[in-house]
Amino acid sequence: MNCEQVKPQFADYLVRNLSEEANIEVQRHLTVCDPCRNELQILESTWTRLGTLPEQKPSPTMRARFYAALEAYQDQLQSTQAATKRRVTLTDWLDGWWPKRQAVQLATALLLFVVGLGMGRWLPPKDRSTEEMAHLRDELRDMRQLVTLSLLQQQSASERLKGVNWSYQIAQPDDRVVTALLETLNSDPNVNVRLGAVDALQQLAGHAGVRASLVQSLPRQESPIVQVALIDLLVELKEGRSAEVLRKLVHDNRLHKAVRARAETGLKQIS
Amino acid sequence: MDSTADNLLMFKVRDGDVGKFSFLFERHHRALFNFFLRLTGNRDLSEDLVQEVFFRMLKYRHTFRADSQFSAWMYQVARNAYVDHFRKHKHEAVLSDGEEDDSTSEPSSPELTPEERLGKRQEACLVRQALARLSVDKREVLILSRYQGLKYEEIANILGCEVGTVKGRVFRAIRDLSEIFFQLSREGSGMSAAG
Amino acid sequence: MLSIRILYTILLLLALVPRSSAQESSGNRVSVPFSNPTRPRLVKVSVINGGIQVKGYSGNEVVVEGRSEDDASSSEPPSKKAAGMKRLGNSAPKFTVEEAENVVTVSVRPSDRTVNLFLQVPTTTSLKLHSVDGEVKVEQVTGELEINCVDGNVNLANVAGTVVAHSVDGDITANLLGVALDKPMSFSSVDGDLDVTFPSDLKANVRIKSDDGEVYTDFEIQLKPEAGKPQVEDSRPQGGSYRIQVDKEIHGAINGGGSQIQFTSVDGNIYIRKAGK
Repeated sequence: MNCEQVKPQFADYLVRNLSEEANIEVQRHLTVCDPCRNELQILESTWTRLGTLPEQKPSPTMRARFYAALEAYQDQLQSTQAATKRRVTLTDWLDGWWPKRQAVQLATALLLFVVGLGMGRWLPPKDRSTEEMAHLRDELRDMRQLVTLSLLQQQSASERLKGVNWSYQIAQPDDRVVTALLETLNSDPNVNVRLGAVDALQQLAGHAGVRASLVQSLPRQESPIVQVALIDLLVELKEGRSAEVLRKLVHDNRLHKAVRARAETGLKQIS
Repeated sequence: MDSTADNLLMFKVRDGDVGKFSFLFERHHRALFNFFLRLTGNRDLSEDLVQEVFFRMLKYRHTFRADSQFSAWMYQVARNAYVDHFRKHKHEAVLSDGEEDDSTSEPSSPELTPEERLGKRQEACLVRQALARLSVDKREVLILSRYQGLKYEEIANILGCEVGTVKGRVFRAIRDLSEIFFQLSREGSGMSAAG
Repeated sequence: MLSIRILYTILLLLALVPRSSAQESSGNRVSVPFSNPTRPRLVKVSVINGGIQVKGYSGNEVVVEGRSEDDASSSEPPSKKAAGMKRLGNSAPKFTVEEAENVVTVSVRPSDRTVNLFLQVPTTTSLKLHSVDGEVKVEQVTGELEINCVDGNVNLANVAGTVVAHSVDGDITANLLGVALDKPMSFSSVDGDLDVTFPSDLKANVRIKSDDGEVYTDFEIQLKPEAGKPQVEDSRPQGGSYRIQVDKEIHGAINGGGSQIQFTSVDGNIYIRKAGK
């Protein structure tokens, strides 16, 4: 072994990490080579000297901080787990139970209906059977409402679109669904979902307060495509209360030209 | 330190038993604190970094693999935290030059005479000064191998380089340090006892 | 969850210390791995002045590179004090990449310079891309793709999964190799054209609305009768005109129906193409 080969071994030598043979080789070289032996001695003494640097103690606050933070983290963990469980349970249960494909959904609904009918036959008084059917229909409707509501809460825009589409299948949706759709129209982060909400609300224009809410929603919209769709809807409903809002839109220079044009024609059609 | 116990504890934490993480804190916080302290010379910063590292390990516990070694992983997270910090605070001084509060050191054995104790303090002060004059790269590998007890292979994994590179760097670090000690002793020949 | 995040802020061309294998950076290029490679992945990108290009590749990291548009020439003339000298450093675009719980978020610091982002993501990743003044282009990615553009074109090539895309003034062109059946899609634009190609065995229920543009398709669409009910207004007795307003919306089923797909354009044309022509 020559000097060039010995030097790379020094790092291992210092930490006593050399194999038997390598150790012997290195020692053999050191006996005959003064410069290498001197260098290694210096390196070893420096290495030893480093050991005089004592370990320091951290302040007592470090431990206190850690434990306080760990406790807070564990609390948070438990509460988010509980919340997720609740939400997941409902959606999962529905998702697991209610079939996904449109055709199968329809088949299932029909099946339930038929089962209901069948059940009706078994029950002697005729009133009871119609009552059963009505009850079953109500249950189906409640189920669909629950599905709609939970879908509208989902993270992905596609899921929320699904929720909007579901609302079409509810025969007589109650206020919760209407409110949820209006909420979606006003604050959903995705343009296409808000657009879908406009269409869905068209079916529900007969509900109390929907028209007024639609009028209120128009000035809050920022996306031109939603504005156009909403203007069209209000015009189609011949909602006179929207005239003032439309007038403001016509004169607002910041708006997309298509929106202002639509507002102008709409205004003419309402007045 | 028994590394098998550390790994087992971390597996338990990874699989949901978050409470057991405190055991790992107790076993390692002191070594980690000293790592940062030797690297940066700043006590407050070192304490902050220790917190940061433990919480990153907790948050990313699911990345602790079946073949991971806890201490190597911990130092990897530590290094990332340290680099992230210095990216954000580039203008801050990297290393203060050895003004340690020695009252927080390990109490020296009572058999030492006051002169001996003073000598030890001076020596420690000198070592700190010398380390401060090393480049960051060299100081880092030196601390990891000399003080934190990591093997060269483990250090190579953490730094993402070859083992040979680590050994070479350690060799050059000790060589440079020897030279620095020599220079310091020449500078200090006219100085008084205070380090 | 605790709000400690890993924040990689790239300021200048130089990296301080070589990073561990968890992340690389060389100037304006960052690689970030997902925490859990086996769970669904999401990448969110938001740019104001600039475009976004995403390409799928086989790996578990998101590679982000930012390029300023005006790297070569500075539009501001140097001040007199700086005459005859070159400006050092600081021309690399500033952007941040954060990863938390398998969601990688890329955002660009608002500035008046155009920054274009180029990303490589694992081929199965969901995307949420938002650009105000730039183009968005996605290639070879499967997942839930949500794209929002104000003033730029959207181009999705060889993607699969589900698409919810919107551009105010730009065109949306997409080629879908596969469609997730239970996830509704929506394409919308005010002034731009919608040009979407689907596999020929697509099963979908479509709703198509174009106020002032034309609609073309080479699929067979079985039109649903409820749509297209003309509304008649006869105000001739009052001296007005006879007006029929046909519902601008087309409802139909392709290959028997299936996923819900909506196309909405105000002034643009809509092309719904069958692949493999």
